[in-house]
Amino acid sequence: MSRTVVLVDAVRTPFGKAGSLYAGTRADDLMVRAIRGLLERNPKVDPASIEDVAIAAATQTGDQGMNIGRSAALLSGLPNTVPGYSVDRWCAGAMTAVTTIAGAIAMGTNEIAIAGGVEHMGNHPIGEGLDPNPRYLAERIVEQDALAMGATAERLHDRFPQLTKERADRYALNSQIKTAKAYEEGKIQRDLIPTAARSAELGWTIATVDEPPRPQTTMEGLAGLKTPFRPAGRVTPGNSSGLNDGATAALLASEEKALELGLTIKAKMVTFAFAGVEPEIMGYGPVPSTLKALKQAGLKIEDIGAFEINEAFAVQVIAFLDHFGIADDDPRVNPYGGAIAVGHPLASSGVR
Amino acid sequence: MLNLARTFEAHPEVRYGITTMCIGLGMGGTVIWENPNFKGAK
Repeated sequence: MSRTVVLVDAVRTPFGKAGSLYAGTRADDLMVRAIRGLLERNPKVDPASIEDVAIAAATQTGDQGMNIGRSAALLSGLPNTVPGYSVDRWCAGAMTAVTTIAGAIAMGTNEIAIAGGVEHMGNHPIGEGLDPNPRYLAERIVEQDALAMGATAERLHDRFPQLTKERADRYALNSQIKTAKAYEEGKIQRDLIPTAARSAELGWTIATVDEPPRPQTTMEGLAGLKTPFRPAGRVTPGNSSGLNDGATAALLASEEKALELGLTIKAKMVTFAFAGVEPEIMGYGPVPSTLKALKQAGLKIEDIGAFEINEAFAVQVIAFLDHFGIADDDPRVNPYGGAIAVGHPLASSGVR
Repeated sequence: MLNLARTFEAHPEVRYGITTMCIGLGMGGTVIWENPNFKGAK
């Protein structure tokens, strides 16, 4: 990259279960809380100096529509001179918002900008309003399973028989345990922005912790869960992320700008990569994208000392670990747990 | 990313980390990050 891009800070709202904590809260209001919380934590940054706001959502209609990037900027009280745009790469929306902003910073067209994502899966159930082209099935461009994420996870189990349900369940249990421990140690709360929430069931509240974690999870409990994607399958609600609501926001800058303003630098971007695989086993995607990124960086997998792998499905994480010869319980992997415990509001997760 | 940043803070012996995720319709994304707190290997 021509200019070094740094992560100055990143925050998120607590995540909720779809239809529960945030049932009466708008998606754009969640996004606004994340942006305002980010700016409040970084008072050295003049809001007027923000040069762009890239916000992701997988469904861009209703309270996630109206160009959510620009709309969230205006609703956050950023001056109307700050532009904004919307991004979509489904689950990797916020990640793509970050890499797109990073590209602009590296090229020298921006110096400081916000990237984030939001998904209110209660207001926008996965697959809402989809109208797949009939050619997908008529010409077998993808198999039917490719459009149901849980079915793709079952396919991943089929493809790699060594990835057993027992391993997936054990990984999921470990994720719950790691998140519970991180909560006990106060490691998760510090990046959560308290968020006003309203639901018919729970009334008004200020959310300060994630709603989805299930610290009481046991292997016996996981073993008895139904497999909704296939009779006698292996993918269960226990070894998958749930349906969730939440928003995330990150502040990115050129290293020069961060130093000039005296901002903290939490991480420096080395490189990024996206890659495609067979849609039927989408969970395998992180393997080629990581190989590509490592090659670009001139690094080997042994050089990586910390892994943050989104846990859409346990099988997808262990498929990645298996490929690289990393143990399922390696302490370098998701030390604070992951999406199986805290939830996966699709387009927001990339910044978490 | 925010979790990885916290890991970087707690582990100055770690130089590089990745954030990665799978994406519907068959994709993956990976970002490699360098730890600004890196103080040399253990």
